[in-house]
Amino acid sequence: MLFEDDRGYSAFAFGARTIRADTALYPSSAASGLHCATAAMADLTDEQLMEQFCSGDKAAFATLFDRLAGRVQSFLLPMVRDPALAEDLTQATFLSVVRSRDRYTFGCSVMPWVLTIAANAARDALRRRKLDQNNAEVEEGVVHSDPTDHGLRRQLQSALQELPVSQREVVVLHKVQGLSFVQVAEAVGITETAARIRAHRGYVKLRSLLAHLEESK
Amino acid sequence: MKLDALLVGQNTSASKPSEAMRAAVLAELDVAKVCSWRADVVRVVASSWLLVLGVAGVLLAGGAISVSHLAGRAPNILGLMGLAAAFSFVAIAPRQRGRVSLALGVGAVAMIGLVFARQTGQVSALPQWVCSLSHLAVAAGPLAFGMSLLRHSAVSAPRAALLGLAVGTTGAILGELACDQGWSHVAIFHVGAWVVIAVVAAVVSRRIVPRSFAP
Repeated sequence: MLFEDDRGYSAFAFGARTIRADTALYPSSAASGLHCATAAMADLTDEQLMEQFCSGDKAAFATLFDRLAGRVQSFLLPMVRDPALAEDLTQATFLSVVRSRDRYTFGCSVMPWVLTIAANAARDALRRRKLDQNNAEVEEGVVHSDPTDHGLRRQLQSALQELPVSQREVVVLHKVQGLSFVQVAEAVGITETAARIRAHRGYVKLRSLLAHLEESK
Repeated sequence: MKLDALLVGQNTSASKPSEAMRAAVLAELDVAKVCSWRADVVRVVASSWLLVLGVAGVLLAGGAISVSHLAGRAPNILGLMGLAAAFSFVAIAPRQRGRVSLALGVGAVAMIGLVFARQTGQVSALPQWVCSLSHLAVAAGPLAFGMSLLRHSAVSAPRAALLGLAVGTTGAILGELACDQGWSHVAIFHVGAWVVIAVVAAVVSRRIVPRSFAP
C-alpha cells in the first residue's frame, strides 16, 4: 500500500489499477458540470487555474488535470518503467495536489511544482520496491513498445534504466519534459550546478550505452 | 543517432491517463481535507509549548522548583521555546529546503550553548540516566504527533531530524527546570538524548507512508 486517504483505506495499491471502489459512483451530473466549466477555462494559464483551484474552484482543477496528467505520466513512465505503476503514481501526484494545494506558492510555475511531486512519488515508490536494484528483473513485457520505432525507444528506455535514479530524473526532467536547469534543480532539491553535472553525466552514460546504435547507423 | 530527438520523442509517446483515474482524482475533491501547513506548524509548536508549560506548572505547584530558580533559567528556556517554534516552521513549511541544513547547524550550536550555559554542578541522588529517560519520555508524545503531521508532505530524513530537534527541546527544557548537575552530565545525558530523538525521527521517516508527496 502506498497511499491512504482520510478514512484510512488504500486509495490504490502497487501493481493494481487505480480505481477506488466508490469513485465508480461519482455523480455523472457533477462530472458533466465539470466538463462544461473546464471548456470555459481553456484560455487560462496553469498558474491562473491553480490559483482558482486554491480559491475553491473544482472545475479549474479538472482543467489542470486534463492539461498536465499526460505530461506527468510521460515523466513517470521512464522513471519507473512500469505503466501500471506510472499510472498509480500519476494518480498519487494529483491526489497530492488536491490534498496539499495549501503548499503551492502563488506565482510559481505549476508544472515544475507538479513534477516535483511526481518525482517525490517516484523516488518513494522506487525506494519501497527497490526497483533500483532489481531493474533487470522487470519484465520486458511491461515496457511500452511501438512497432514503428524499430526498437529504438525500447533500447532508450532500457538505457535510461541503467542510469542511477538521481541522473535519470534529471535527464528526463530536462531532456524529455523540457524543464530548465533552474526548474530541474527546484524540482529535485539540488543546486543548478549539481543538476547540470548530473544531467551531463547521465547524458554521457546514455551515449555510451547507446553507442552501438550510433555505430550501426 | 540523435539522442536529443529520441529523448524528446519519449514525451510524445505518453499514454493518455485513463478516465477511471480522472474520475478517482476528481472524486478526491469532495472528500479530501486540505492539509494546512500553517495549522500543522501551530499544532506542533503548541504541543511542545503546552507540554513544557504543564510540566513547569506541576513542578512549581509540587514545590520541586522555585520561582527564583525558574527565573534564573528563563533565558535558556525561552531560547529553547523559540528554537522549537523556528525548527517546527522550517521542518513543516514548504520551500524551506535550503534552510533545513542551516537550522540543523543552529541546533548543533544550541546544544553546545546549552552545555556551556550550565554553571552549577550539584550531585543528584538519582542515577544520571534518569535524565535521559525523562528527556526521551517527554519528547515522545510531541514527536509522534509531529511525525503524523509530517505525512502531509513529502517526508525527508533531514526535515524529520529537524522536527526531532524541535520536539526534543521539550526534554531540554525539562532538564533546565529540574536538573542541576554539571555540564558534562548535560552534554552526555541531555544533549545525547536530544540527538537520539533527532536520529529516531530521521530513521522513522523512512518508514512513514505519506498522504501527500508535495514539497
